[in-house]
Amino acid sequence: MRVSLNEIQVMCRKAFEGMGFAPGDCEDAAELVGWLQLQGLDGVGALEKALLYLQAEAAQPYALSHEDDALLVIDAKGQSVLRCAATVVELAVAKAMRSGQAELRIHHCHNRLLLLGYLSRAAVQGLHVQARWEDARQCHLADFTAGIQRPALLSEARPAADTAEQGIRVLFSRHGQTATAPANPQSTLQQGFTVNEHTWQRLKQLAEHILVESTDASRRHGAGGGSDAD
Amino acid sequence: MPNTVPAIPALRPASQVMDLARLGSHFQSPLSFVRSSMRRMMQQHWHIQRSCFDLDGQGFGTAIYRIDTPHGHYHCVIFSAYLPPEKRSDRVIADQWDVTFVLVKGDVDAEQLADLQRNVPLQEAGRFDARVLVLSRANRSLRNFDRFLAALAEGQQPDPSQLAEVGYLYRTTAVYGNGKFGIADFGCLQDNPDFNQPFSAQMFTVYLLRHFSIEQINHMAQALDPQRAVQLAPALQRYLGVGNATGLGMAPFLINHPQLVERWISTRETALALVLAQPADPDRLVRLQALLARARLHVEQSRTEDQRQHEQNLQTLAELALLTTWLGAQATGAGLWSRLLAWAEAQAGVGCQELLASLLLELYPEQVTPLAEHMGVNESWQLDAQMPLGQLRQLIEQQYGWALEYDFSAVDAEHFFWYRSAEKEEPRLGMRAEEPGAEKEMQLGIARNIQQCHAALLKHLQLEPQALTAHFLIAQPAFKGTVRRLQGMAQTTYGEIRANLLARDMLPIHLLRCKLAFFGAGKFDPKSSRWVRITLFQGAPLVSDIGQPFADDWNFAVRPQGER
Repeated sequence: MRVSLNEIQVMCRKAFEGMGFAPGDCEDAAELVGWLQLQGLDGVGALEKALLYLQAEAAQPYALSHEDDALLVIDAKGQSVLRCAATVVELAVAKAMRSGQAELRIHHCHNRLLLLGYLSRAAVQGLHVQARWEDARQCHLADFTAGIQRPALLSEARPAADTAEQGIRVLFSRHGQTATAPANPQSTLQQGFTVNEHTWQRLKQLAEHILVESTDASRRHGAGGGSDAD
Repeated sequence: MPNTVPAIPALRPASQVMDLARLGSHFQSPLSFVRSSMRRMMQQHWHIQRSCFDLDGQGFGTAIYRIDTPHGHYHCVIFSAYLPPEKRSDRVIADQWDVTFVLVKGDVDAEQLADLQRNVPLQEAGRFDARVLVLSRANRSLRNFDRFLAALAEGQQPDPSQLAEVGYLYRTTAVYGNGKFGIADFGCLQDNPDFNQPFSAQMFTVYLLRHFSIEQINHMAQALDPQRAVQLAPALQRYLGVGNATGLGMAPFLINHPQLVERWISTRETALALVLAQPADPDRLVRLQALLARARLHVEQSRTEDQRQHEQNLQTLAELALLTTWLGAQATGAGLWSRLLAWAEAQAGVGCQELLASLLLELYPEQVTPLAEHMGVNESWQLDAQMPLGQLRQLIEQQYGWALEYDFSAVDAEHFFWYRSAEKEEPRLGMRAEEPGAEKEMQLGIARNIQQCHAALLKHLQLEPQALTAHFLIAQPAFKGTVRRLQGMAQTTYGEIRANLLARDMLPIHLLRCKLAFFGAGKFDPKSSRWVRITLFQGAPLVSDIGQPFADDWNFAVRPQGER
């Protein structure tokens, strides 16, 4: 089915709220899915893969393992980057802005592709951003030119013998020129976005968790509707 | 005499402007969206033409209007159908309406028309694409409709006092834009000079419904009695607006879009400050007196069964009389407008004060109306993760002192909770102590959130006096939304509505009125503390007036004389 960007963002925000995301994280995560979709990266599809983890995990704060002027190491305790990675990205960005370069390492996290939306904000602020992570088969690199929202993505096979680390390393650096980011093409918005109907229904079910069952009393008084007689 | 330039008076303080009862006393102004929409139509000579009017004698069928502007063309497609009495409801939980309609960009071919025919009457249950800019529906005011039809069919003009009481034939019950149900995202309109201001496409669509309502009633009268029927007189056509019935849904919008609220309010306050800085000349004094007289008559002709609104109207009328007398004894010159507002602040209630503010904005259109083209804002939040936590504490205590003052240990302070009902997600208010669902409440208790955040922050500071905001949020991620919002809003003057929306004595209707006044609503007629009917476009030029000289002077419409 085809949906608008606003529908994606509103549906995701409600679904995240339904999954117990904190205020602020709901909006960030929903915006991120919308951003991926705008970049042609199938944010809704990526979210569907993440739902398995998101629904199973109990939210708990990330742990700050190490911090100095140029390095931030976080233990996400096996949670999705959607939970609260936006905050640690902001802190790493602030370090890079101040000292020219900073590295962020998030250990024990899932759904790493989804972090790219948060990193794009850093790139738009003028930072060169390189994110590296690996899965069982491949090593991945996402490279954001300063000023440009959309990264260059590169994946290559990794040695089968090594054990993949369930984390992500991101290098932020402030140097060189900043390119001018092209605005999101209106043609993309005007065409809408194709999403999987089954996924959409799953999101809808999650979003329903924030709704309160209607009762006769709430139907009569809750909205304070007046007479429709005239 | 020294050649002095009068200083621009300071903007009114947020503590005054953002008080909920004052926001709930706003009136339409030249910055209201119906006014800026009308100016654009008139100044650019938009061309509105009927391209299909396939209605039967009872007014049921399809009507299509083509709109040509200097920048593009559009179509408004309207479906009118029989509505069984038991289905008649203004609430969002309704699933059938008298008319349903859309504003479409570009042309509408047969295939799309068939698609619209299937989906538009379903409203929220239909699916649309980005060619559709606005989706809406409306119900008839049965009383006015029947009386108007009967009078016109008999060759008589209807009694204008009926329109003074209820100023429309149709009232909309929702006007959807921005991507709802697959229609165009607001981003699609940002580079479109016809509709790049907030709610401008929606307001224009409502204006087209007004035009349709006039053509439809004339058509039905003609069908009822072809020999005797007459057309609705032009003065009554102009006095006809479009109604709107609004419930709690508008309240979350204002709380969830503080940057937009900041833009609207700061624009209005900036305009007011510009006006107050002008020396009063005799012509403008005469103009203000005429505006005051018309506004008094308009308020006098407003009818409501709501006791609070009725009493406020009476008070405003009495105060306007005193204000007019005071003004009559003043000399023109520098400082008069400021002294006038100061007089109102000292002697009158917020209703009279805000009505005066709206009227003052009418006096200097060359300064005020350009500001109406900048009512949009690109909403985004940026967390300042590096801000020392001590600084964040200061920010809360300095900028959100008002929120820290509420006593949330009192039961009445959290009496209400806001929630979305499973029934079409209708926003509702529940009583925390008596009704289920508080665990799913919407986050509209900004003051409570600020207090909770402040308390957690103080604890964190005790453990880590040198902590940054990010450290606090890594440990307490639940406060991220609150922190990011307050960091952003602390940079602005207005935006946060200074009220505890959970309190027992809170009146949600104030929030509705604030937003509706920015739309350009008049004739506020509350049906409860959570529900209000209003009128838009009453007094506005007709489609046939487009191309004629335009004075942009149609606010506070009064009942026409001698039309019967």
